[in-house]
Amino acid sequence: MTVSYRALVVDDAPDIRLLTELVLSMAGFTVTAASSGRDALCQLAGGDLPDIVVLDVQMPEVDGWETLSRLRGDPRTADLPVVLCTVKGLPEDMLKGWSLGCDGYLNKPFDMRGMVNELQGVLQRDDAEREALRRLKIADLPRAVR
Amino acid sequence: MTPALSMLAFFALALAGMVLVVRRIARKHRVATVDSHRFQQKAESILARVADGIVVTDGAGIVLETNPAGERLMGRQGQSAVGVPCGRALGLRDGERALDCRSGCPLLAAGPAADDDGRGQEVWRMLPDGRRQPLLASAFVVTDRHGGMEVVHSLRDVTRLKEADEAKTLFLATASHELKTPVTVIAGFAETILEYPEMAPERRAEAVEAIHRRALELSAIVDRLLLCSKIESGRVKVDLHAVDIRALVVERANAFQDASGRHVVLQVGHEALVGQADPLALRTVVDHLLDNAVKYSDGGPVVLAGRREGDAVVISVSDIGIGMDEDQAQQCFDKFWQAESTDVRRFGGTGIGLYIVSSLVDAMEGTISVETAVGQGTTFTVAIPVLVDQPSADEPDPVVDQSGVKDFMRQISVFSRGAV
Repeated sequence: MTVSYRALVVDDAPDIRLLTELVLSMAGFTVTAASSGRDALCQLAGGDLPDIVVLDVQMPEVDGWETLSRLRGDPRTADLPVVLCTVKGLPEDMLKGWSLGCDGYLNKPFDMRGMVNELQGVLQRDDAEREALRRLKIADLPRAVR
Repeated sequence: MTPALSMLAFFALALAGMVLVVRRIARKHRVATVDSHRFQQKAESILARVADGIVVTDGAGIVLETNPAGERLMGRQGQSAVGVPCGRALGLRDGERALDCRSGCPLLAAGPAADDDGRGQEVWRMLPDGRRQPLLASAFVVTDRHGGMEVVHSLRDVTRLKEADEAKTLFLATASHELKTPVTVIAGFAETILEYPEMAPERRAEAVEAIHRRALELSAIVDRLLLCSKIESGRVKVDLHAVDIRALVVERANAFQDASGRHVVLQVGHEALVGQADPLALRTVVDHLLDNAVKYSDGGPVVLAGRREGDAVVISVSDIGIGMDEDQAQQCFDKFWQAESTDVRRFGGTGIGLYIVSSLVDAMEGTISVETAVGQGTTFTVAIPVLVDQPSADEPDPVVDQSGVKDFMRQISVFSRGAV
């Protein structure tokens, strides 16, 4: 029996939410969606946790950086895998993302198959591997931004 | 003639000749003195007016003289910098390090052609208020009367150039962000449709609709960027003639409602409002202001009004949205300016919409102003010069002239295609 992972998609753009939901559900994920960082934090505060969160960065009120930071600060969600999915692709943005504790960083526009592969890759790593990957990604960034 | 007389005559002639020579030399010298004086006056006058700071030091780096711009640059509150070591008087820094003048002028070592194109070296100095003042500096050697060495430093304040450069960099980052979101949707849905031919028809319809909407948005962004670049390079020309602004306002309100589904409260009387304008440029202005009002009004009403005020036809667009503070209101027509620049921005945009609007209004010899308060909304008011020969009340309304469609205007009727 194949495992159906549960993903929470967080994006303020309805069509990007729809696209991500569509692609992930076609790839076998069970998808729920949130339209803002605040909405996502509310959903995650109650109820069951998903297996992975796909998180946009530029959002009103509570942006993706803050959402990730709050998730990492809460023992309940500190280890919840989070993949950032953003138009912000500068090395300093990536440094911020990896330093805040993301597990994957997808730069929009990205190909849909690549997104599914990225999520599946993250889900197969254990905590130590995810931490090692963060350190590796930061070390790979240009020296000037580190 | 006796030999004595001959001798006397010879000496007299020689003396006269010497006097002539001396007088000629003296005359020449006077001319040279006058020329030299004039030249000095001219040089001093040029140096006094030139915007670049000129600082002359001796070989040991002690300031010998400066022009007024140089004095201002050194900011010594009326105290002369003459006699002060150059390093202390100017306090130039390269990166985080102070320029070390002790073993000769480092600018000199770099030479006036330090930069690839010979413009000088970028340095900076700390202003009393803690800000950094960027300067383009160069130096060269001249020899004084006694064969000694003097160093002439030229210092140009490039603060405004730097600011413009930074604004452009920020704009490129913002514009590329704005382009990435529609491209993600278009490419993503197209890829998904190709990848999953078994997709449910209603899902496929949603995908195609999203592709279409985002493609229009992308096209509108690109059109705005092109128009902005045309305005920048002075290639936008408007064709001014009589325009029935009342009809134009009504038409744009209806078109905007149809395209956006948002109600626009229209306030126009029955009087003819004929102004001197370019109809397509004015449409762009009205469409953008409506777009802007809806974007920042948080669902509240948007009012479009047209009226005659003195020698102008006035169009105003009001919302009761988030509004702007005083600083924001002052900057809102600047190129690349955006009310929000952080990651929690609620509104997209490239920051060139209001710049385009104000540029088009300027080109039509009109004026634009803004009244706003934080949390209370914003009113943009455009005044277009009234046409001197207004048609009388019993004449039929002039038709909005759309005949003069020019290539550039064809590109810019983009604002009603959805918020950008």
